[in-house]
Amino acid sequence: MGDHIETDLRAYDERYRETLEEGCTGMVALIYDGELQGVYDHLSSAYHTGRESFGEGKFTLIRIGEKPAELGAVGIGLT
Amino acid sequence: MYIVDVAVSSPGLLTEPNYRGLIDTGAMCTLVSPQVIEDLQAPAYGKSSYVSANGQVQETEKYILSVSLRFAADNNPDNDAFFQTPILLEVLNLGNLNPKFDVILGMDFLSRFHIVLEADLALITGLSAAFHHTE
Repeated sequence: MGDHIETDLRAYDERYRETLEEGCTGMVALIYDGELQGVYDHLSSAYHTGRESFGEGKFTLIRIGEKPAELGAVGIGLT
Repeated sequence: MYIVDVAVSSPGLLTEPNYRGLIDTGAMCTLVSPQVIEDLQAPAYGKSSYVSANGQVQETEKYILSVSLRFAADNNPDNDAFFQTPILLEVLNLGNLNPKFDVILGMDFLSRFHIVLEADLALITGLSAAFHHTE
């Protein structure tokens, strides 16, 4: 995984998470070089904006307020 | 288990449905195997987490990929005409959770369609219909 992701995730935790989780839960945050570039309603908008502005794989997308996903028993091979 | 052929590609591309996918209505999200990620040379776009079988929260890379099924035209499974409806998704790395499948189709994907699961058949309808036999 690219180092930029660690940088972006750290910036999100330290500078943006608290504010964004107050009013933007479920939206997608676009972060590049440790700076919040925008918040989008839809994943596709955030992805295409990031790709056009910064290039493939050069930015980080964070689903604001995301909780750990539940996986089905079948999917993880328990049945 | 309901198994389908799934196409997974980089966003904006459309490929043949050549991955083995599991319909898992108990999964909130879609996951792909490390092999799929390697095949596509897909870059990560962050991290997500999931609750593992023992109840622990596991963190994994998140990827942005296009996922699609092949739909038979005119609701007719014998019709050679088809189309695919790619959906842009955040997918997680399946890791070694279930090596039998390339893709676990979770509700983030499945909820885009109308699905009827019967004893030996999954009928998936979206803009048109697809018929997938089960194992």
